[in-house]
Amino acid sequence: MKKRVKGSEAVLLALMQEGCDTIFGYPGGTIIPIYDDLYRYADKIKHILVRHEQGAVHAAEGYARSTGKTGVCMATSGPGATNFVTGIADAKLDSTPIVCISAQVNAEKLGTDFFQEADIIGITLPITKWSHQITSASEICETIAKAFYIARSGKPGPVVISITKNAETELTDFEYDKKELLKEIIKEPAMPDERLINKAAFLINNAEKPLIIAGQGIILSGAEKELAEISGKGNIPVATTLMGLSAIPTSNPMFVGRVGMHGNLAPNAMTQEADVIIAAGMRFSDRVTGNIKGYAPRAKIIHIEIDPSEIDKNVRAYLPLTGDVKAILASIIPQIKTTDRSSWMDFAKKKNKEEFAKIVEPGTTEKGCGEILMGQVIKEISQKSGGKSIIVTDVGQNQMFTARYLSFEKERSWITSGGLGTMGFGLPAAIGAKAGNPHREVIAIIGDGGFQMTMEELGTIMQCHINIKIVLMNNSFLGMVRQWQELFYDKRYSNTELENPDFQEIAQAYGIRHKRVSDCGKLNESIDDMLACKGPYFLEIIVKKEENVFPMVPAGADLNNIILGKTTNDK
Amino acid sequence: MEKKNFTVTAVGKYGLEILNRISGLYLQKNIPVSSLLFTRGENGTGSYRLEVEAPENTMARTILQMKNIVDIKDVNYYTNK
Repeated sequence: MKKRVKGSEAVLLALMQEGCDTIFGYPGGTIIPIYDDLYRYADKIKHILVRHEQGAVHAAEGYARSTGKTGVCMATSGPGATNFVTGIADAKLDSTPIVCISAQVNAEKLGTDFFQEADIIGITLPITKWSHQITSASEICETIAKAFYIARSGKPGPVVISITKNAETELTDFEYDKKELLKEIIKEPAMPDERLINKAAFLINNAEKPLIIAGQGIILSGAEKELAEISGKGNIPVATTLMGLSAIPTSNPMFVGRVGMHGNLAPNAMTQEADVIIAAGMRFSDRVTGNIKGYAPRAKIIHIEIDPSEIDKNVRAYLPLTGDVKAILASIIPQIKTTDRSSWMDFAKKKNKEEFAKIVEPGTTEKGCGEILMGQVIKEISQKSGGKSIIVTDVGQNQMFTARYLSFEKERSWITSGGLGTMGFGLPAAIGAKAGNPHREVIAIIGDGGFQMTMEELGTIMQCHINIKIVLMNNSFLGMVRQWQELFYDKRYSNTELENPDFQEIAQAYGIRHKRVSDCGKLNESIDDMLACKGPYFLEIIVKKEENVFPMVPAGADLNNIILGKTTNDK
Repeated sequence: MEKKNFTVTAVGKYGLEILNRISGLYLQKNIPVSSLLFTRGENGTGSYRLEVEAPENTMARTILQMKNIVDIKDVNYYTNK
């Protein structure tokens, strides 16, 4: 039914039609009309007032990744919109469905260098899946319907809508018939030819050493059940990428770990030994492959991927299967034969044992209660949270240690910035994850460098009562860069040591319960206190200053050249 | 990898933002474009024609990425003999 409304109200009504219940945003001059209507719709759409627009985008990402819905963020024109840019680039590389709405100056003033005018459409063209500038209220419904459809269909990604102020204030007929609005762009998902499905099943059934590498595509398409089924039926070991973590429970006996630069020894070694690799919803990033020429030399690669442009982009696929990974796995599963692959799994166990002895055991147990190790922190959190919490990390050593030592039992439990590696992502993304999952525990694990990039969002936590637990692993270093400087630049620590403020006083100022722990003997009870706290909590853990994440495949090296510790590198 | 001259043709919605997305793709990949023709057709359609120089496999990948541009309907390319 048609309703005559102002453009600003039409925006909110359209968002509600798309199922949007939360907006992360920050008001300003040109977007006041929408905020004015938001005041009236406050019981229908929750608004989380961030402290910086970058935080709004990361929060929308955290919301989207943890719920499977499309995240929405909103800002004013000019600096409000340009502050979106890092978050949009992050969402593009990590295929996160978000709709970013920014206001714009009046259409007649466009291009006049008007106050707070920035060409956000032009600025974000290379980092968006789609974008559109609305200059008339009559375009609002179609644009928002398209934006949501495009953001979440196919390979998901960020969409930007810029809306001029006159479009916000003009009157328009609001009628939201989604079918009608999307009739020109809806596409049926592609599905590979049946012969290719049969060929994939044949390759898998005849493989002696098959390996599934599961990427975030599994999570995006909701194929976790199919992944466990094909693996269990065929006795096929499963490794994940960094972004694919939580696609399969770490307790699943077929899970062998994570591939890539700081991944586990077993899956990296298995990649080099495998005769068939089923790459499911992953894109063979350089962080996964190392030197492409030496990657998986014995394997026939079956690449299941929704985006045709990813096929053969980095690694040549023996059998490309383009389409939705859930549907493709479901069509392969009936043909999979149960095959004994115990000797192949024994290989994984042997490598895991080696990694445990050389890295895990010394990396998670500080004998004599000296300095606290990052691995130790994550192991404790993992045991206490039982793999059921949503874990959000920042970028750097905190991220890699968490990825290494954390257990997952539930899907959509792992949120990190993978492709862009955005420091400052963790805190706002955790806010978004909690907003989307009020009944799940959300723990943000952050380093002292990244924390200081977006720590203003403590204000959002305070004002909006966001009940998240913040674990700050403080080593007073930009730890990952320092690690590279130590290993590859003869310990020349150029500008990586940080002189930090008193984080306890900062948490105190924001009214957040807080604690600092530096004694290894008190780590356990400090984590218990944090998890027992009913509201937000800030736990600062002073960790060993110069600790390295191993294993490590040096950038551009073959996976065979994995470093297990400093001594290996010294040879 | 030997570089060749290619003609690329794309059809889709008419719009400067689409032209920008196409040219941005070639800019990002550092593929030289010697000519670019952008024409408005009927019913809001647009056609885009580029003359470029690139290795064949780079070209094939770039064409797939062009096809990912939301408002592009079809893309073709051929070698100029």
